[in-house]
Amino acid sequence: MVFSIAYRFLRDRAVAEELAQDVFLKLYRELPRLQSPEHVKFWLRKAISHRSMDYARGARRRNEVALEEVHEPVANGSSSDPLMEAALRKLVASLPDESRIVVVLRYQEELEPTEIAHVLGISLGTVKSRLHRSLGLLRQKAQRLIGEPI
Amino acid sequence: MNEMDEQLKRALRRSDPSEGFADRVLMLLAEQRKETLGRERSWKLWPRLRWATALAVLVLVVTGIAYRVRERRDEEREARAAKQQVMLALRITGSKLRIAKQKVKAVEGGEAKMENTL
Repeated sequence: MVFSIAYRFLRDRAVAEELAQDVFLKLYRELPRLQSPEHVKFWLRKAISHRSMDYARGARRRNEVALEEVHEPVANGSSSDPLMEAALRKLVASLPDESRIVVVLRYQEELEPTEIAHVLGISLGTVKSRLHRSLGLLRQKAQRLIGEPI
Repeated sequence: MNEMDEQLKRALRRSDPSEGFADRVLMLLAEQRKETLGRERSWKLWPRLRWATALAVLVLVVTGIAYRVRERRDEEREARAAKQQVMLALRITGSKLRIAKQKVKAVEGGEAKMENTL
């Protein structure tokens, strides 16, 4: 869960492992304050989401290649096509940080918008509008990419 | 859920870290635990050191105050002695002046008597 959120958000395996490691080390220090396995899960999601967003912001400051600049691949429009999945992942990577983390938490972790709002510390309305905008954007880009609506 | 949601779920399904990731995290945790224990041990020694430092500072402060009080007492004693000496000197000077005045008066009185007789 922890590695996967960072990986899906940053699309960099090495960095995602590094961030996941940091979060687990931090968890060890925080453990006495956490009251239940559910609380631990919530804390882990929150910590890795914020850590990943901070990293992405820092990476942009360091002038690394931004995820938005990753070229959209050419793929065929089959629903279970691995190429299509890869294309979707790259399209998700092209979303702004704030929207991308919402999409990752919604579709990877299958969290409800209220839970996402809680994890990210933002309002439910913001989560819903970011989700709505992101899906619209993804649909447009996917349509442009494969030439037919999803 | 529509087609798009399903596709996103499939595309963003959980991914596992590389092999050995869990071992690396456990190793780092063990190292961190060792460091924490070391720090805790030094924290246990710290109160003793703190008391020793506080005691040393207290001894220094008390010695300093005692030295200053003694110095002040000496100064006061010296001032009292000096005052007494001055008073004595003034008394002596006063009595000498009185004697001199009496002598002058006596001489003046003798001269006046002589003038009257003449």
